[in-house]
Amino acid sequence: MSEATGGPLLNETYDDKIVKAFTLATLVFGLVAFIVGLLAALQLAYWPFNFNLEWLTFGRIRPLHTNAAIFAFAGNAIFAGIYHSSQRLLKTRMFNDTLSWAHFWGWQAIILAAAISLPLGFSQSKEYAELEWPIDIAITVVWVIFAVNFFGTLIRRREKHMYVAIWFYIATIITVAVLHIFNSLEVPVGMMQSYPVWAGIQDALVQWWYGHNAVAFFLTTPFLGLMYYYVPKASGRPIYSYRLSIIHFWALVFIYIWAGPHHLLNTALPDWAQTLGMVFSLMLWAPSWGGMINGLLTLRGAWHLLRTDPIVKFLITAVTFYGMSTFEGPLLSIKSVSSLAHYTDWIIGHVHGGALGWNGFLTFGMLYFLIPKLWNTKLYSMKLATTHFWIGLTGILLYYISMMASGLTQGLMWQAINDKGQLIYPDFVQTVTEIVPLYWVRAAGGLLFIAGFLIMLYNVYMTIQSAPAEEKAEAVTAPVHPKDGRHTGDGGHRKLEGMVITFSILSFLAIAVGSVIEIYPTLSLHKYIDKNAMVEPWTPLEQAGRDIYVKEGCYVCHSQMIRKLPFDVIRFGEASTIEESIYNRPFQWGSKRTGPDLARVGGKYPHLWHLRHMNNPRDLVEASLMPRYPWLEKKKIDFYSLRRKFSVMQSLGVPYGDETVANADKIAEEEAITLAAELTKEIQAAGGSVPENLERTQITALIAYLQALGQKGKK
Amino acid sequence: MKQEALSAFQYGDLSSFAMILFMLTFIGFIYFAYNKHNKKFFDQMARMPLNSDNEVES
Ligand code: HEC
Repeated sequence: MSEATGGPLLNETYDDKIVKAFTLATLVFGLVAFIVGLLAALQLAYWPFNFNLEWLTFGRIRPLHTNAAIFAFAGNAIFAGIYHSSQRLLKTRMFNDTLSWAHFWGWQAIILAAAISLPLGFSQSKEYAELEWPIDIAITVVWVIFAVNFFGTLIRRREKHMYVAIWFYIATIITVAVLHIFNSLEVPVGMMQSYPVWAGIQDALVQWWYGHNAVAFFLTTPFLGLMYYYVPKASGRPIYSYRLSIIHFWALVFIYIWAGPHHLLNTALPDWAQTLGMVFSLMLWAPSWGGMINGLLTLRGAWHLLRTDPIVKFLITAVTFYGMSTFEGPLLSIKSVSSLAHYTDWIIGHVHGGALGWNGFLTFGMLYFLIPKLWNTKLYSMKLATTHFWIGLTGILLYYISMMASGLTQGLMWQAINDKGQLIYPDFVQTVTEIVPLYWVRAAGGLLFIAGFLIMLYNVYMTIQSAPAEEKAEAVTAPVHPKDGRHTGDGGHRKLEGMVITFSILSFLAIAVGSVIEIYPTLSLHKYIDKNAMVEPWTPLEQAGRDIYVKEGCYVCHSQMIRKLPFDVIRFGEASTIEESIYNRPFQWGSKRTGPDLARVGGKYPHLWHLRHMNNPRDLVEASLMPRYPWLEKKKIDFYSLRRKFSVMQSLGVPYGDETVANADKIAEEEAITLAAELTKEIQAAGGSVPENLERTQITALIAYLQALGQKGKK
Repeated sequence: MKQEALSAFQYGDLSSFAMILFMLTFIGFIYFAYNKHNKKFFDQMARMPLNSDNEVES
């Protein structure tokens, strides 16, 4: 602390204005994310909540909800916590105020762009990566701004060693950048539309490498960093074992990156990748529980706080949910368990145990701790915070239990086969009606969670009201020169902790190894497959229909991946192959079956069935909860862009002839006329009235696509 | 053709390599973490969040 070791002392203030801004943004977007989530829950319980408006159908609302929850609510919470704790752990103000504010406003602008573009149907239909390419670029830019600001702060830090929370932040920043960039490699085909460079199985693997690690490095590592800072802060005790935290960190960062394929078990993904995903997911159990124990035992000798202090209640319960979710995750990654649970609501329950329990409660605990500090006052009411805790917890439990029950019901009904080898519930919709009551319970759980949050908003409002008018910035006095670990004679990991760049490179390597080993072989797939020997690519009209399918977000309810499981095959037909989706950009294997798998729906029904079904599913399947899509009979097909799209597809390696590319629009128009004529005949035979402009409206393209599903591989 | 394509997917060695790499790294970190030499330092590190926010660790 003397001048001799660190140069002259410097006095500066922490930037808490930026922390306040992120805090308020967290609260605002938390409310939005939760309410949109409630709407989505209600839509599944009672279809009229889709309001027959294209902007509000479930296919567009669900991505809005997930993106808002992850990137707007959790994102702003992470930033608030990182900006607050890093300055204090590094004993310095953030590197650059302008960058801080660029980060803040940039991120809010991205959220706004998402909130507008997703309901409008601008979506890549890849989970948690739905946002279209201009927004993807904006995310990259803002993330780089954040990274520069954060690493700048690290470099000008006035504390020699980096506390474990900081490592988690470093890993987060590096990994999210890598994930986002690789999963967003896409070729624009319009102002708000693009095709990924990856296709089919490659896209699936890259997407779930990303998707799983969005959970790992956006919802886990940064929150663990927050845990390692705020749990000691709130309880006034050091973390239980610093050693454990070192192991926790490295094991987690190294193992997590491998686990993605557990989202694709029993699918067409090659077995070696499935096994790898399963084994690493199981191994994840150890570091995750190490981390949980570390967080929980921090309270040793102060367990009474759990009774008396609502902040500690929130934080410790959050850590408990982390433990539960990370126990359940590896369990779900076992192939046989996955065969029961995959595509069901159990996964939705699992996710919400993590999101509401771990991320939500940790955020609430952190904010109850932070807000009085930031506004230099006391929390308005501890009692209301405790009420929030109990209401919120009840909500989460209702949510989790109902979805678990729903998932098991679905899974067991889908599997049920009698002695003769026939499905006991051959009618898919039976498995849907069975769980609708549970959807109401889930919505009630969500409502409780929101009710608790509203209490928090009131509490926060009253707290801020009581803040002294005059703002007082906290100051720190410390030597100017960052002390580099290299000069101190520390050994081993201690040295590493002093060296930002080396440390960051090692973290990068830890995630890069798994990524390369897992993804590279799949990317070189084209070397081994003679594409011409496989399925035909989509015709222009089918591709136009596929783009509508993608835009409407049908993947939120429908899978297109029949697993190699007997009961899947009996219900939906032969298991899906790699070749069948090899040209699909984006892949649409899906992750949830609220409706039946569509991989082989082509030819199952006449055109007219689809026309009527899309207009109102209840006309054909009385108990259906699928939304209506009446606008598809009004909106026109975008023939014009097809040539551009096909030339992009061709350049990406889809075997279209130059003729097809040059005439894609005309070919599609002719196809549409033919299909419309067939459809007209069917309608007249049934004695109905023919909708106007059938040969130009989107429903025709969509039907062309649906009828082609599963038909392409036929010889 | 399909058979050929699938046979290219037997990356068993890769998985073994991954496992060995992982085990070695892991053992390395356990060694660092549980090296007695570091005990005092770790205790000091663990107290970092608790040091008053404007006090520098010496
Ligand atoms: C809210 C969830 C949901 C969404 C979103 C949804 N569906 Fe459905 N879909 C269902 C359910 C449930 C069924 C089963 C009952 C029925 O046939 O209506 C179904 C059935 C179907 C069927 C009949 C499958 C069969 O084998 O009988 C097709 C085709 C279909 N949907 C197409 C679509 C398309 C295309 C979209 C997007 C524009 C879409 N669905 C969006 C829930 C959904």
